[in-house]
Amino acid sequence: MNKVLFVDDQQEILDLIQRKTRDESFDSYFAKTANEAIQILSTNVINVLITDIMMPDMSGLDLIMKAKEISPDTVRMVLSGNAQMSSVMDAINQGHVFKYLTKPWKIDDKAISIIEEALVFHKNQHIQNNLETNDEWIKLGDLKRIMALEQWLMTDNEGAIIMSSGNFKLSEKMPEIDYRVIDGLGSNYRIYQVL
Amino acid sequence: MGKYEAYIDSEFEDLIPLFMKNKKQEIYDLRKYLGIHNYDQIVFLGHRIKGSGSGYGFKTIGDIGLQLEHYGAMRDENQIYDLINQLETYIQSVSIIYIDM
Repeated sequence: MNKVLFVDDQQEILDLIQRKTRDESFDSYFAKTANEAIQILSTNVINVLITDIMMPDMSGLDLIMKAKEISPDTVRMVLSGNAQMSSVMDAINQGHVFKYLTKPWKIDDKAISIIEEALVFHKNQHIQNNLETNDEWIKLGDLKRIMALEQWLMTDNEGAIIMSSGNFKLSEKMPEIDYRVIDGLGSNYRIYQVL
Repeated sequence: MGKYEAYIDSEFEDLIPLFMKNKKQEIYDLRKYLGIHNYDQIVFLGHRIKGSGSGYGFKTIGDIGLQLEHYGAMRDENQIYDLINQLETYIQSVSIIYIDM
């Protein structure tokens, strides 16, 4: 499950976010201080970090820089009011921040869709990093050619069959994954050879 | 029925007592800081009140927080004094109507 870390020094705000995100498709983590957030980032794989800017122990922008060091794959976002907009825009332009949410905290459909966008960005970024180092990955464009030649079964992460080629039956002994492929949205699939 | 009405997300209903308790504490702190002319803390508290008030759906509280932040930065003792009283009156008299959002 994806993990989103929310950082705000007001417990009542974290309570509100917890309430509004409990039915979402990601696990929510909460930190009341920047140091607490750093601890969570050091011990968990956090997909997305969303932090307030004005906090007593460390500013949200300093936390963003620290998060970039200790968890570079985490997609970083800030919650910003108008007063901090200039420094937030600088951080975005320098590539430190993915996007910002406007204050006050309001976990509505718009905010959720921005968080989901950040999760997809994280996933694509992660896949891209793997593609550079993992020879087993193949491009989706090559898949059609291979599927035409071979009789292969493709499933998604849940194991549901989503595409097949020719007549086939599953082997009693399901072989290990032959290939993993991604589509344009970064969705992850597995391909098995069938008998 | 109170002088003020606020329509609040029913999902927050059990959180509201703590929210109101926090506002009372913040009113106490605001008076304390006004008494010692610590305007930085008044700006800080105004910012928090603005954020939490608006976040929970209490527009009036959010607006008062915004003004506290503004007049705190201007070190306007009279305006801050009035705003604290307004916040207290609101907290004491608001009728909360919970709705599904």
